[in-house]
Amino acid sequence: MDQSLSAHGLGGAKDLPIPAEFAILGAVAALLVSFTVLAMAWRSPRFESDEHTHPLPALQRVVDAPATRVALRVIGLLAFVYLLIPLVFGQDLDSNPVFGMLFVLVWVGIVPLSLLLGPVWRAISPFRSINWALSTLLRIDPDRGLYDYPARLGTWPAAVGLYAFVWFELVLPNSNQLGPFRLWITVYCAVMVIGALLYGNRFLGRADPFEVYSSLLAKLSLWGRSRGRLVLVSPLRNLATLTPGPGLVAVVAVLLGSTAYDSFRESPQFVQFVQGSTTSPTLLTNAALLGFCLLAGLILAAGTMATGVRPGTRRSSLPPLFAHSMMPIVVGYMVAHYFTYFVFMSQDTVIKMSDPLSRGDNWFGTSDWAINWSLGYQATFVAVLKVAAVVTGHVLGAVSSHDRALTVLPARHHVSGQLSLLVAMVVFTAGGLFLLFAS
Amino acid sequence: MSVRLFSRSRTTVRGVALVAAAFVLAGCSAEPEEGGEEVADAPRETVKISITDDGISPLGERIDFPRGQSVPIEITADREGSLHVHSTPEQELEFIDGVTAHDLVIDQPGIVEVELHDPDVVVMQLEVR
Repeated sequence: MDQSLSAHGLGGAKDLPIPAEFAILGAVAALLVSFTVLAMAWRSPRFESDEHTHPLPALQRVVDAPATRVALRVIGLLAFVYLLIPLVFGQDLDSNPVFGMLFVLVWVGIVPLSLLLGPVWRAISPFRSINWALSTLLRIDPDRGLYDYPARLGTWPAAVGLYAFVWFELVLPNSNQLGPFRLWITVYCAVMVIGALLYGNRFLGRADPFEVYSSLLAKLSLWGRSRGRLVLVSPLRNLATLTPGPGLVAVVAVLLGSTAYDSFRESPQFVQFVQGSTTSPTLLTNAALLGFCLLAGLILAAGTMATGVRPGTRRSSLPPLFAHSMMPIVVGYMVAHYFTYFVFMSQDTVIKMSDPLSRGDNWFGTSDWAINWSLGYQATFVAVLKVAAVVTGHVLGAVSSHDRALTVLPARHHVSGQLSLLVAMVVFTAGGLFLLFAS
Repeated sequence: MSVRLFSRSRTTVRGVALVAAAFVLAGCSAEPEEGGEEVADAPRETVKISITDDGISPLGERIDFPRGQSVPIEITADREGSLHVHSTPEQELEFIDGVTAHDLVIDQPGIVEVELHDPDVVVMQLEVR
């Protein structure tokens, strides 16, 4: 048994830390751009109207055609079945592709796919297909289910689901062994199928962690919907159409906090602290992940609420209204953190996928491919890319929160009211860069 | 919160930006002193590892490691076992009860964890450049 290999996460060498001067330059650039945006940018909201969108009727006919929809559902179901083969029948070996299929292809691959193509998970979600089949059999409306989805829950279930996923990936010591892996996926599938039967597809749109994540990312794509029409739209305008419901802040906080924790947990200081401590490592890592997510939520809440408001506006309504502006920052973190990991491990997974049962098969002819490691020698390029990703995310976030502030805040607080959120964003950006430098 | 303070004055906002930038610069530039970049061309000293019932040493430290060069590793242990080197490709350093000598070569740059699996600990992180 090769348990030792699989017990410690996918992959070999990790990225070198970025040089200190890169981190400093990035943080200073983010800071200067932030305040330049605040001081110089437009004074009336630009992203809130749907005027500057370009309808795409021809593309929409193709995209919305029943044949396309069915084809996408079939692709999703085939991929799901393909994941079940190594999950159910595969061996508990490092060569089992199922780990990479979930942790790399799904969890990281969802980011570029949704940014490029829009809400991909929604289109291929096997749970939407299963729900459609079961609901049709039982004569239930697949969209509405048996009961009304409680509106006040919003996307809280997805936040819990995302937390359960990052906890499984980053905290659980043996998440790369087949037993816990099977258990996690079984529970996830069961909750999705039963929830969808009870509350319809509305449940999946608010509780499926991957669908909610993918649909949030899709708001940064070029593809939007305006009154049912497919439109080409600038990403920031698209982002502003995000509905600020309950649970959105929690989702964003889990995404930001868990990525930060993933950097932090590899820093030698934390490794030494955990290994040198008499407290149980499980307790410490659990506390650290939870702490990072809560901290991200608190910084966002404090940053958005420390402003003057119109009479009658409750400050507690502000964090969800600004949460969308954290999505570019989330994407910046994800790119910085997972770019090389994705490049290497997606190749590794595709190679292993030809032999899902570890029998020496070569189903798709990819088994004898070799991973191209050349990116591993481009440390400067990778460091520049990371800093550029984090700073770009910061700038886009600052611009979209500026635009939202012009709508939400009273005129006399348009500038001053943004200061606290800008400071919060600078904290996220400088913190993210510091983690890239220190871990 | 004195948020209304800045409401009219863009100049003040720019001033805040400069001051804050200065803080970031001051805060970050202090860092490299504790990060270990000074060992770039140091002689290839033997990396000594001790694995006994009394404890494991080192225990999670980051160590500079020259890329593509053979570095002597000396493992002193009171049992048999192996260390797992998460380089690309991955490597094993077997050790016996007593003193074991190895030469470790790592070709690809990056952070490489060296782990013991019984108990599960990160012995060191090699910063390969």
